[in-house]
Amino acid sequence: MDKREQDVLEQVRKKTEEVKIPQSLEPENIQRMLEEKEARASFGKHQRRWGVRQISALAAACLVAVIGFAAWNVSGPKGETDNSRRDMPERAEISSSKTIAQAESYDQVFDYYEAYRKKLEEEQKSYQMDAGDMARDMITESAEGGEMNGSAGSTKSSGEEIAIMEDSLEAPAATADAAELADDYSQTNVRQEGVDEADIAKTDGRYLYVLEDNGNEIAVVDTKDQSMKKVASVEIEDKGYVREFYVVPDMKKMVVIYGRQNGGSMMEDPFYTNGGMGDNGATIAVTYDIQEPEKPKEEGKVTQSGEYRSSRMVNGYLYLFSEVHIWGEVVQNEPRTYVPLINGEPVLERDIYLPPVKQANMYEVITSVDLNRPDKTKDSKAIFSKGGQVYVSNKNIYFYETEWGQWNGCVTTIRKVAYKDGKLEAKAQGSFDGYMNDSFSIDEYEGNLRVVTTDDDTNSVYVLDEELEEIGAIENLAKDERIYSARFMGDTGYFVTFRETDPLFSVDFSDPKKPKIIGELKIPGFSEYLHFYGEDRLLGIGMNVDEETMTTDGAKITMFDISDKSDVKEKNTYVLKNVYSTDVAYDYKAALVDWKKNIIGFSGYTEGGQRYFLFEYDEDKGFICNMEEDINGNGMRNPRGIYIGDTLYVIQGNIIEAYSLKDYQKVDDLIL
Amino acid sequence: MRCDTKTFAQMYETVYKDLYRFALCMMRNPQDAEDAVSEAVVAAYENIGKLKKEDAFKSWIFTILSNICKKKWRNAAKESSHTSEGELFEASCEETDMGLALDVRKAFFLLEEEEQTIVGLSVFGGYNSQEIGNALKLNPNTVRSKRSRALKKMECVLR
Repeated sequence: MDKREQDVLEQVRKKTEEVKIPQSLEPENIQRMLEEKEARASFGKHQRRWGVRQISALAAACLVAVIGFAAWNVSGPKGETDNSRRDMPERAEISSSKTIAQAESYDQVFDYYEAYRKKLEEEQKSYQMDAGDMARDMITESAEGGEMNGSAGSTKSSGEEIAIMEDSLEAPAATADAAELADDYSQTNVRQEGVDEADIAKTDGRYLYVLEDNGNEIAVVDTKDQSMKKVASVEIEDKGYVREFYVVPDMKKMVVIYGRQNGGSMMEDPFYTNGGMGDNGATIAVTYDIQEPEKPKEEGKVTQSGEYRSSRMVNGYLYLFSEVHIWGEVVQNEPRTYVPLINGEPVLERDIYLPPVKQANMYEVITSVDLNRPDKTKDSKAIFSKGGQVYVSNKNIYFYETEWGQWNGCVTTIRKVAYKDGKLEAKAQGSFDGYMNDSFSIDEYEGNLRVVTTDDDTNSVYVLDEELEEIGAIENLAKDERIYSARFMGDTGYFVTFRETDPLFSVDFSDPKKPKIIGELKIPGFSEYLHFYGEDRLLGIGMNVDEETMTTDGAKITMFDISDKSDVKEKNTYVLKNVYSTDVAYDYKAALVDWKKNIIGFSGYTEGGQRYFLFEYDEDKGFICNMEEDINGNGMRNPRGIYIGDTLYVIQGNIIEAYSLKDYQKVDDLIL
Repeated sequence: MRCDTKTFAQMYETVYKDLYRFALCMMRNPQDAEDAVSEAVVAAYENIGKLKKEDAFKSWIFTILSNICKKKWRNAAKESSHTSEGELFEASCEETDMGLALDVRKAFFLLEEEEQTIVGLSVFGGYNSQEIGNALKLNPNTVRSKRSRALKKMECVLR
């Protein structure tokens, strides 16, 4: 953990020191509560869920609260600051092979897991930390086996997947004919042009599809004539939890991706071992026909082990990623206890890709589905790993994971799997120093892969060829800073580092073997998200930093002039003084940026709550704030802004608010 | 281990303030935090026989508490969809009676559920990524990158 991270923890610690502890939780009262509970239990009324508050009034009445000062961990988070635990990055263990190894047998897979388990055991001994083991013991005692343990969970289909809510009076089953669909509407902001991504709100140009706050259904809302009306609702199975979905207007299909935990109830299982964080559960993709958006029809579904990580949609093929942890009881001759299941069957040996490090305890499961055969998994691979991230270019899936040294230095290993029309094929593997800020820090262009990384206190740029062999590098950039954002276009890359000022670096990759830093613009603050905005313009959304106090004092949007790559200029800025954070900084799908339409929309947090901001950009006048409206919805997900024609829809939780893009006045709202 | 209510209360005394602070950051509401801690206590006491060593009490009860908070979150998410608009959970701006500094509350509000747990366990449990990984059944690498991301988000709000 670096100094900055330690500081944040320290701040939280300080600021919570004075928190007043409720009297009912004082040890005396707790003891009394437990005693009374035991007394009752011996009466034969064993109640598991027995809270403190029920008796706290009574207990408080006969109590003089004098409490010794509780042990407070003043020394800071233990462990990672301890020098004795430093150790060099595990470079030696990383395979130098350039090709991805396929498993020859399940036994081989088992050996990798065993190696991991043994290493972990040793580490645990050295950490003298046994509560984790104990928690694990408890779990294995009571676990009846999730998806991984080979229960029939994934093959079981529970019948009532879809419930259509029809509008009672009206709706003579309107077919959305093409003429009614506007083609002027926004799409989910994606990482890679041409590679679609799922989201929590989508449109096809007339209907809005919105994931409701209960996580269980998707509302279909007709927006005809600027007046919103919920016309249908797609509901998944009760235990399911919708993660994201796709709408594919040209195929008239919707794909809903949801997770299912195999959890028991609290009464039977106080430690939620089946529904807890370690539960792999299953990821399910259901395809619906939305020829008639008011009557979605289920067409088929596929299931795979693990928690949903991400997905992509290219040319009518869905690529689905889930993460599977091996846990629970592993039995060597029962592959189902340590190999992920696809539609109930273990992934074949040859489809398991072994990791470049000799141990692993997780899988990234990649499957593909042809939307014309939505009940079949077309291809599947399981990348055996220790946990990593995915970047999908127009041709390849890159799975990268960082091997951290205990204290200093890290190496990122990367594996490349080509995809085409649903077929998946292992291509190459490689590695480079450092870790990446997010998937904008990695980019494929003309067969080469460019990455910008941070390693300890320096930053680097690397170029890898098709075989993931390093062919070019610039190292030791911006000492003591780290990368906050990056974006690539053609043979130029831009990235932002920050410490006191915000250097925006431009890198020329025209000779991939000799990348060159050609520009470095220093300005106060930093950009956390970069987006190309028409010709020669680069938009940055981030935070402003007061140069005297060195604290952030509001969100900032910046337009960079990149017409001269070697002399990038800050053309215009706009500071939102009272905004202390934006969603775009860590959720790029929260950005609504369309330079052709000239709108920049995003949500921010102010003292008064969440607001939605809408800007236009004028070459002479700079940024013009056209709208700043409170977001009235609520919920656990980030707000989304979607436009259809001249109407902007701000969606948060179960509330959709519509604004005219002509006068920016509110025209309608709907509570789902 | 075997343990009577008195021994339990003694062990509890060494950790309860941190337990409550942790729960408060997770639940962001004193009432729910109080309930979570008391549920954790009951669950821990009932299962104390499974705890092998007293030393591990703290991390053990923290693991239980974090699972309870997670459960409560899930339920709250389900319920909030059934309540009317006015009652919905809200990052309200009223300072009164929330028991937690506004900026800390905001900072936690920015985090995803799992990130909150990781940060909470780091601050109040004093655990490193390996230990958190064990408790949450996550890879320590994953814990580190999640924590780093979470702290980055919190940084802007806490200054």
